Amino acid sequence: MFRKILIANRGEIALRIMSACRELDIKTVAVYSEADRNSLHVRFADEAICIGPPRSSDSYLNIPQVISAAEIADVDAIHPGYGFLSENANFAEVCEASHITFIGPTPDAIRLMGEKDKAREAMGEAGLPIIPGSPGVVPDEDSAKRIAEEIGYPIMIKAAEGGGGRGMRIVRNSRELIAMFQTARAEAQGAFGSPNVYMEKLIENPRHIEVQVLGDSTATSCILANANAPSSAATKRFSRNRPPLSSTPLRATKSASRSSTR
Amino acid sequence: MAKKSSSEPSQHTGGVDLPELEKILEFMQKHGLEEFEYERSGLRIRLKKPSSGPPAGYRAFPAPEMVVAMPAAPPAPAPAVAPGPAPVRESVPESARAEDLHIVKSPIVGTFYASASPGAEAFVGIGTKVESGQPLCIIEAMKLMNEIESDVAGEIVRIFVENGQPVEYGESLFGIRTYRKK
Repeated sequence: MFRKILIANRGEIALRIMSACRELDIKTVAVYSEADRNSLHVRFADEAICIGPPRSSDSYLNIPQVISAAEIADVDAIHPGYGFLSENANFAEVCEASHITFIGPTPDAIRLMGEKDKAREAMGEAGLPIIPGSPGVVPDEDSAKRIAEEIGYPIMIKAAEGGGGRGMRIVRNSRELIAMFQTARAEAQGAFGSPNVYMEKLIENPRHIEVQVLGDSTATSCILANANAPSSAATKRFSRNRPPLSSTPLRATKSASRSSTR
Repeated sequence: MAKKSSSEPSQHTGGVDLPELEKILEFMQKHGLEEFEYERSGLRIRLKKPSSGPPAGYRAFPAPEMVVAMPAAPPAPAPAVAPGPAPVRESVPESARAEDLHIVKSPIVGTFYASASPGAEAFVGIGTKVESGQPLCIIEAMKLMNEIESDVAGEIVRIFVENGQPVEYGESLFGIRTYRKK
């Protein structure tokens, strides 16, 4: 078990992680920007290190500063929390290179899931049922037209490197397609640094059930909770501990659970 | 950062009553103690003054921190345990501020070294006159040696860190008395 962990985050998630560390008798190190000097997570930790000026990009997202803090505090591992550097494959790699355990997926796994089109492909190959869609990135307008016809309207255009409900466009008929395709690509480029988009059939009025699976480095996995998630484009990840509505067919929930542990 | 739990029952002060604590605080003041630790049948009390170095300058609340440890207690009663974190280091010690010095602060997290290599002469010392852009020290971060340069011309009058000491972003390194403009 780790002796000391640096939490590369702030706010409620940092506090939650530190709480867990206390229960496990693990020493905690907080990092903070100058703006957060008097934050609760700073006071709750065993040690605290200032890593930069107020802007996140100069502090919490500043990989060299975070790693340097981990080094001078002599920690065994870094817990990235959520957001910030938690889905940053590069950060995970730098941790590895610095001989600090990154508490999270491997850099390859992060990369795979970060590129949505590749993630779809991988899940398809693993035998999971996926929404009908393009075989990968849609490279040009002609392919877009052809694939949209194959899938059947209405379809959804999604940014390959998108996330958080952003970079998506609904297309209801072929007349709208090209314009939407171009806009989606431009938006993706601006927001995520890559114009790559893929397509999926639009499911209207879906029942969105999230299954949280916890796995560790020994490939042991278990299901934590099934949560009924709101299916709006502006979905943010706050509390996930909502049980499925009693009206949700139990069969659907069980099937989703079974798929996710594969 | 003291949690003064007024006249709450022992639940909040872990079985120690307030008059007893006040006696200990008095004792500490009287003998000029910085830290006091006491253990008795499963109860441990630790009182620590936030040490700030030179006694110069005012502190409105010199109250010591209070850490009351319960033996193997479940984490449930949250208010009962006042966590004792490492005090957040002040950016500029009081006495330096009074002198109106220019403080050179660390722009990165790392380890402070006074000289370019072990055994070599330090870049600067107290009394050294420096120019703007002159290297003052090295801060090592992730195995890279970063030269920290002075951003003003003047004389080094204070050095706040020791060789080999870990430093955080914004930590005070040197106090420079800048030359007055004529």
